[in-house]
Amino acid sequence: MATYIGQRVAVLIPVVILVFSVVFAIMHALPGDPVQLMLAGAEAGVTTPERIAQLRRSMGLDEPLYAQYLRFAGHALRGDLGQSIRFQSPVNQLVAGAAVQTFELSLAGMAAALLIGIPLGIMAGLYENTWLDSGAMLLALLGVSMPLFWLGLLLILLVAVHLQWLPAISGQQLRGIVLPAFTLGFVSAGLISRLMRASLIEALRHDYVRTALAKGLRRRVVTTKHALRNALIPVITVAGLQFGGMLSGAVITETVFSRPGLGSLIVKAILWHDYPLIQGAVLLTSVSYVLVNLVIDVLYAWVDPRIKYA
Amino acid sequence: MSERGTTRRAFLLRSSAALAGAWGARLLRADRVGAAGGNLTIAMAADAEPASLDGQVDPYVSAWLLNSFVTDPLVLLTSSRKYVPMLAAGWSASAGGRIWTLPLRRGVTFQDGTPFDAEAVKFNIDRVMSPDTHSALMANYLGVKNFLKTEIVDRQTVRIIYSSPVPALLYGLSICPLWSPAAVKQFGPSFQQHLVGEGAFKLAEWVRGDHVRFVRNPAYRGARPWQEHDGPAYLDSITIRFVGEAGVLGQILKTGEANLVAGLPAQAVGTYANNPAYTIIAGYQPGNGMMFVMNTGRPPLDDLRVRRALRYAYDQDTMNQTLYNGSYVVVKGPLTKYTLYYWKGAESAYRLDPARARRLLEEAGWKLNPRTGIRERDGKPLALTIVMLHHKEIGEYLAAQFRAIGVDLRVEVVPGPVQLQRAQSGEFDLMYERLRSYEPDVLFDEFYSKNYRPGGWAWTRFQNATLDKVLLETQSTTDQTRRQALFTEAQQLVTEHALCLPTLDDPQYYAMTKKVHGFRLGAIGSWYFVNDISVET
Amino acid sequence: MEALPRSPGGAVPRPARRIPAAWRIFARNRGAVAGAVILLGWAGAAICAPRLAPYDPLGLTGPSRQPPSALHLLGTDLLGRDVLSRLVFGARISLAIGLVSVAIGASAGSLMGLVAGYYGGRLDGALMRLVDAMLAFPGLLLALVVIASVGPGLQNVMLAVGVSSVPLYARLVRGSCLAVRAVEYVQAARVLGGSDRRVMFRHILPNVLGPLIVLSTLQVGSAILIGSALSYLGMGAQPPTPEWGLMTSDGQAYLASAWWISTFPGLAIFSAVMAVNLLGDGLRAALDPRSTYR
Repeated sequence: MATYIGQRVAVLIPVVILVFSVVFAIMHALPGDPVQLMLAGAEAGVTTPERIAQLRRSMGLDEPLYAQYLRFAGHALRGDLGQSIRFQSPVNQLVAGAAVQTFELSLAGMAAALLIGIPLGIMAGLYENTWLDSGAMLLALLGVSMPLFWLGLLLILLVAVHLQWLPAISGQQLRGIVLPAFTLGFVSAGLISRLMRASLIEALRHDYVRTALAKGLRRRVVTTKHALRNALIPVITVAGLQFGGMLSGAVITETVFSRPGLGSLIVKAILWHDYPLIQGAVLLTSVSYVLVNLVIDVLYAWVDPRIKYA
Repeated sequence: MSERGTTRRAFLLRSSAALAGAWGARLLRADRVGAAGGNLTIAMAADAEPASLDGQVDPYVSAWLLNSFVTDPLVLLTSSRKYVPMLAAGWSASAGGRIWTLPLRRGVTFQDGTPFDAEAVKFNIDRVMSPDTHSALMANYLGVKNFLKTEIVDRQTVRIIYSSPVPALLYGLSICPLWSPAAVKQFGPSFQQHLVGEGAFKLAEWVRGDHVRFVRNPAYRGARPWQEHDGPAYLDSITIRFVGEAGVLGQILKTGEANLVAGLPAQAVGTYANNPAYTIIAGYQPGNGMMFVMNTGRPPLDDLRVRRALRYAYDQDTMNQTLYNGSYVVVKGPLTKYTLYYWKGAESAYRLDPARARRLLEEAGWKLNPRTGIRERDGKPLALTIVMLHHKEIGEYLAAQFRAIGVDLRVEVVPGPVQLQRAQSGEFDLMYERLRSYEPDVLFDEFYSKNYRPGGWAWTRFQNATLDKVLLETQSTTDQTRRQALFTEAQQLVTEHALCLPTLDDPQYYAMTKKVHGFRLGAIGSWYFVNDISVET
Repeated sequence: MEALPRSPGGAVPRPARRIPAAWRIFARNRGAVAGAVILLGWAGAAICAPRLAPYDPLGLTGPSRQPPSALHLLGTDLLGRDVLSRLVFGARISLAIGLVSVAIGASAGSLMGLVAGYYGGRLDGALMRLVDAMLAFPGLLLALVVIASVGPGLQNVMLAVGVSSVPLYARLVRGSCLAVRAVEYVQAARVLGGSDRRVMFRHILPNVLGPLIVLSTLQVGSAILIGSALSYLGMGAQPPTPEWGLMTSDGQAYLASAWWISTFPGLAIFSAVMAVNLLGDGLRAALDPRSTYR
């Protein structure tokens, strides 16, 4: 097990370095000079060429590219991602604050996805080829076919404005996370329910289930005790992947529900051409996504003994 | 300085009249509202969230507005558009407007207990002027180009000295926030998160992308007669919630999550206007309106005929009706009608006349390609880029209108800094530019050719000796009659040379529930007089 | 909007089902047939847009915000443009986003997968690390990062969405390729001196065609959704392009007062994406019998 984890981590290192380099390269291919952009928003009337040169120096932009790369890498390794141009605050601080919010939302979104997806999938699987099955699968299809921003606004208009059950802007209170979590989780719920259904049907066809049924065990006991447990394994894996995706996929949900978070921070950073912030936020998102995947793989290997560690 | 500088006596007269008015209002107020207090939640568009809360640095109106909760200005521009003293006890200008002496109110302290005195004012003025502060616009308003120094005359009197007159200084002083020097020094670069002023509310917290919260400053003494009552504010707290989705912002009063929407989207006005449970107030803003300046520095808009053709190709009144049911303000010149020395002649300068527009384009050598419907010259299509920040439907509307005369208008929506950078580099044909100020001096910033420089606001690249001479003279003229004549001429020249494409101006709509009392607007459509607001609980 | 979960390994080659059998399975699947019909409808609308559309999609052809009427079947938008005409022309744009980005992603990704799987060794290692790096940008993020560097606009959206799906194809094709490489007839073709290119395209690629078609079909749907999401964020198609996502998000502010402006384009996206998903599911059942889910 330990060797397996070790190997997986070893593979990750080049990936992270590559991600890092890609982000660095893209940021430096961007049109527009960061110094000019910074001044454009801030120093009207008193900008002198000397001031521009001084800022370039202070931001290290006068160095050759490889030196900038090494400097940025060095700082990043020490956990320092630089200073945001737009917000005039450390990228670390901004990203950390947003990450907490996004993590909360993703967690709630995942919970919603599982709470909707698994029962729906089980129902469809147990009653294969009945109208219950078709209905559930149609609902699942709905989830993966709707533009999120549209779904979110429709939900707000219905649940928050019309029925007044839940708040429309989520803020810091717990009640406020219900609608965004549901919106975010709906897409994944579609995938999860389809997967749950398929893997339950497959499990129910296995010999041991048939044997158990033949031995006269009640169908309900069999399904819950044997088939469900096995059917859940692939669902958990995909749910894990979905969770990783939510960390960044929350962009739209965050915008519709006016929540601060990593996704909306990245969008803002891109819109404002805030290079250090894009670099830092994208780097952090990717690394945490990779880590989440690693954890899932390891958990999966641990849960399912059929998977070899080598 | 007769009109604005105010002799001491005229000021006393006026202030006593206003005092009587305020008294009346107070009496009314007493039986109108029982208990004071409450918490006000203001919803605002997420784009309005300032990047920095320090209005001495940030160039956007939203920062100044939030600052006004925390600190009062030296001078107030009242809703009847008169300058009156606020933290200053008065002012006098001498040496032809070069030297400004400001006696200060006594007994005022900042929220951290440090005294508000000449030293503090000097500290603030010097801070705005210092290049290290990176002040985007405030330094301009305070006349940084001619600034020499600030002097302390005595403990309660400060003097600002310029190398040449600064006629519009009072406007700058009316929006410039004043901070506690001790707090600025203490918090350094993170001061914008810890604003400390002397105003009715203290900044409690700012969660970026979510909300800003202010709580009552119990030590606030008030600033009568310009506010309705002395002493601390009625409200316990004010919370600003930033809402990212316009569709939600328009509905937010109905969910009960806010008492007041500032900047209600035009499309939602109708849903509140006919509902007795809500009040709607419109604030009209002076300055440019949603103006698009033309880039005369490159073809095809270097050609006056093409610029004029565009002016004949659309009509603001129809635009207003079509897009906003007529709820916006039509602007036909470089200034809105709420601006000082507005020139009415602009309204009849250009009328919708597509035939004339086509003729002008033909004369300029742009011939219609019947296959594409777009005009061409030397094989190049007549394509223009319009760069804007918001209200993209105006761009789309113009695009549809310009297609009719064979012009291909491409709409690009960009964020603020990108706009400013593009303005500098000249990669645009039409560029959104709006400076908001009661004083027409923005024309100098925007059309004086030497203000085309890094950080400057003259983006048209237009050079004309007469226009430059007129605009330059406005900056050293203190005689108001002469200033009016000069600014009128400037507006005529800008219109004649078709340097800008005026469109509409969006009133700031404020919608609130009936439980909000005492909400009043200031002269530039955004001063909320927060001290007097209360919310029934 | 979420990308499909990655196929774990993509492994083992499957004998391609014979066409008639596949067709029978497909034709029995009512959902898949319905999907195909809806898609054909939209494709027809896209092709015949100039004839079908009653008005110029960019022209101000009526009073603004008019509810559906005989004159404007789906009403007019906030500028007074005909919603139906924009919807019909929008089919061109939104379907193009789906198809072009899939073409970009599928061809680049498949090539990468083929080369990596066929040559193996260091080249394989390097390419797969690149794929891993790309996969480290979840969901919309990769598309956003690409847009950040090339700027918004329709073509860039197609590019961005295409690039963001490259790793999915690369993994799928490489997995199948690895497995097929060892199969006898491929070995034989190599021994007989078939050129690398010939072996790759004539012998290996046909074996992965089934899953490739299925993945591509489903990706068309998610590309349309990502395209509309980018429009919502202001980083996609620029106005006045009648892209469905842009139409939906621009009209959202009017949902309470003029519901038709955003409801119809929203339904258009929904119907097209759902049709693609139904079709994809049907194709999977027909062409890719081993994968029972997703």
